[in-house]
Amino acid sequence: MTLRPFRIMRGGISLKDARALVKFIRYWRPLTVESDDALGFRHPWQISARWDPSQERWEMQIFRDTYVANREILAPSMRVDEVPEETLRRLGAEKQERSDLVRPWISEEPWIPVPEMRRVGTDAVATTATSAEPIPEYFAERGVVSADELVIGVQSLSVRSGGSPGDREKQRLLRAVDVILNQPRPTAGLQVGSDGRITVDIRPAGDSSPFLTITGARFEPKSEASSAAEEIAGAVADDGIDRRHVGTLWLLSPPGTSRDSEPDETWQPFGQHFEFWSLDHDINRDLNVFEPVVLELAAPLAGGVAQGVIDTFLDNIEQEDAAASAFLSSAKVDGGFWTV
Amino acid sequence: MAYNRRILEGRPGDSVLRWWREVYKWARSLPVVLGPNMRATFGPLGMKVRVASGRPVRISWRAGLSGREITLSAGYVENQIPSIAVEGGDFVRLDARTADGEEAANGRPKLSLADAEPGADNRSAVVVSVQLNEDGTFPDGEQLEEDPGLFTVEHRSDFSAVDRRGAAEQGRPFHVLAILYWRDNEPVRIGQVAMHDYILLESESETASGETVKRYFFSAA
Repeated sequence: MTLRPFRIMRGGISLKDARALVKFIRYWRPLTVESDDALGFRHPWQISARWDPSQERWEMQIFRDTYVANREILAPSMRVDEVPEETLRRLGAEKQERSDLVRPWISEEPWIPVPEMRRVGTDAVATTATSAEPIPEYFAERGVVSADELVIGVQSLSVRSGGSPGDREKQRLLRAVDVILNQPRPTAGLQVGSDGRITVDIRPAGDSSPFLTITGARFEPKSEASSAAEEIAGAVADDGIDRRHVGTLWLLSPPGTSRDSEPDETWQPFGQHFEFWSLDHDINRDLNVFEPVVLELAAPLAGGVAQGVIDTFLDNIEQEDAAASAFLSSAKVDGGFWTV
Repeated sequence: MAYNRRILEGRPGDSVLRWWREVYKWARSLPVVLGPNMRATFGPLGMKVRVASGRPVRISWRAGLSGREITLSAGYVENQIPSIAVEGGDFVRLDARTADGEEAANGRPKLSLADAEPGADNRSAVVVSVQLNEDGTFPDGEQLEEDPGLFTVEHRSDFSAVDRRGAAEQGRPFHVLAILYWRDNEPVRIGQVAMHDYILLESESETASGETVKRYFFSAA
């Protein structure tokens, strides 16, 4: 039997009554029930996520009481019409064009659009078994299987499936984005003079505000230099930013989701944070007492080619020249984070 | 008449007003009772319930803002508890004791923001500040008993890296415990920075051109 809302259309219930009821139920029945670690406490760096049905996208938020050296952390750029009112008020940006980009503070609790995510496990493709990103045990237990492996033969290209085909209905997909903290800091600038001298001076950072980047690419920490040549190369290529992987947002699909699907509201978010407290940051040099470091080498610059001087410098290091080694260590600018 | 009033089935032509009223009555008859560790908040879209499923976490230096006053739970820097200057020029430690260890008459001290002003970006800070000895060492218990003003919790409008360095050079380094956000010259929110029971103060010397400069670092123990 089909039932219909019979006499409502004929005035059986007033609109006022109906609204009162809906409002009452909406207001007094819990809309959501969420879990906390403990009442009223959340760790700094804690990540939460939500599905925005109006824009059909996932958004994420970092817990607001999170600081680096007592400074506000800038969120990735967002459109003016998407940032919290606090941000607009602070920037006086109410009259800006909706499409203009601004950077809210994390403490203003912006909901940051999640960028394109990387695939982990099930429908990812790895060129070798070792190149595949490891699947966290938690997700492996919930149906995420190993990535397909691309097998490159002499005259063939094939894909070796990570899970058994029979389990496709139970398999789940996994997506991830990494949250990276970036802290600009001064850099050491190496300059090779025409007289064959290498000079190091410190170049201050422009804007030293810490900022977040959220990226689908997997975070790779900077590797330690294993030789003097690498160390010099690192100093030359130093972009003056200390980076730290502070968290990852994972999205887990329902079982049996077809491969290559884009995350929607049926997926489940998991915020993982690797830092638990606010941080401080500083560098290994006191800029107030730092003086330019100069190393004189018996290798005059030939024809304006600095490489000859650098090569001589490396030779000196390899010959355990104390002056060259001391120069290298004094020329290095390192930044560090610690818990406050 | 309805086939079944309990599940609100009816026939075409039935009046539903009475049923709406029954639903309304039913909704009212089901109070939301919050159990231990549950908290309800109301927003424009309705009620949210949060359940604390983990063990309670005790946070040191927990800062609370009430009007123009701040309360703080106790914590240690170099094994000492700082004091707050209260009315009358007395000092009371954060654990509600006076410098000589007696219980304070008015309980936990509150940091007054009566004359406080915001700094850059409409922010200011609650800091713990220590007057170091001439040799850069932390004052011991006896010194603090004699002069609790050496180690206090204060409000600062200027707390940038440059200000921190300047204070350290004067022999009075400070460490930010919480950050205050202001609007229209009134504090409206407080953000927690320090949360660890114990904080250490370490120093490092750097020399250039015959000048030795000390840098101070506060960190969680």
